[in-house]
Amino acid sequence: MGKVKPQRMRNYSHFVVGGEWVPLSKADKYRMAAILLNEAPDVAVIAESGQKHILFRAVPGVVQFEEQQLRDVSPLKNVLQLVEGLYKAFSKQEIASGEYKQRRILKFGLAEWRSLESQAASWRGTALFELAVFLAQKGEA
Amino acid sequence: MDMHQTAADLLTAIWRGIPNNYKSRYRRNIWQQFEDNVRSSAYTSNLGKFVSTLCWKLQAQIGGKDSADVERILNGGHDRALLKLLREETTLLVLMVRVANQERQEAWRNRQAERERMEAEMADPLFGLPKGED
Repeated sequence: MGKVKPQRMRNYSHFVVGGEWVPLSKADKYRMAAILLNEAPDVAVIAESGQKHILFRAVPGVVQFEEQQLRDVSPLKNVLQLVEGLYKAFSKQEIASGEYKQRRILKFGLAEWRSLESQAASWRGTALFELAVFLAQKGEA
Repeated sequence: MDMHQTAADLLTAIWRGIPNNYKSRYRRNIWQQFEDNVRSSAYTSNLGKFVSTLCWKLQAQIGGKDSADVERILNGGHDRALLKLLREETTLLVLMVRVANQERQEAWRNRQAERERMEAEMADPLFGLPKGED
C-alpha cells in the first residue's frame, strides 16, 4: 500500500463494491463516506482503532464498524452533515461526548450551536453517530 | 415561563451573589468552575438544597431583589424539571447567564460612554449656543 512499515489487514477498512475489494486506510475517510453513501457496498468493515481483527466479522449487507453492526445506514447522510456542521468549530471529542468548551460555543454562536446540538443529542450513543463522528472531515474532499 | 429561562434566572441570581474578589481570583476559569459546580450540585432532588450547596461552593450570598426571585422559583413546584435541566443542559444554561451578563456589561459601558460624552459637551463654555460657520 506504499507504506514503509509493513501493514496489516487489521489496520485497514475493507469494502467490496461491485465485486471489487477496496481496502482503505484512515486517511481515506472521504472515500469511505462516499462508498457508504453512494455505492451500496456488498461488504463494509470499518476499522476505527486499526488494532482489532474485525474482518472475520464481515456480513454481506451489514456495515461492521469496529465491533458494532449497523443494519441500516440510510440516516448516515443527515447525521454526517450534522456532525460536520459541528466539526467546523468543535473537536470530535466534544461532539462525541456532548461536553463542549464554553469559549468555542460563544465563538460559534449560541443559537446555532443549540440548534445543532439538540439534533445531535438525539443520535448520541448510537453506533451510527459514532460512525458519523469517525467519518467527519473538515471542508470539501 | 420557559423552563430554560427560569433555570437561567436562578443561576443569574446565584452568579450575582458570588463576591467580586472570588470572581477576580479565579477569573481565568470562573465560568468553567461555575458550570462544573452547577452540574455537580444539581445531583439532588431538592431545588433548595441545590441552591444552598452551590452558594456554599462559590461563597455566594444572594441578596436584595435576587433573593425574592429565587424564593419565587423555589416555590414554583418545578424542582424535578429544573434539576434535570441543570444536570443535562448545564453548558447551555451557564452560557445563557454568561451572554446575558456580557450584554448587561456592554449596555452599562455604552450608557457610561454616553454620559461622559454629555458631560464633556456641557463642560464646553459654548454649550447650547448655535454653532457658527467657519
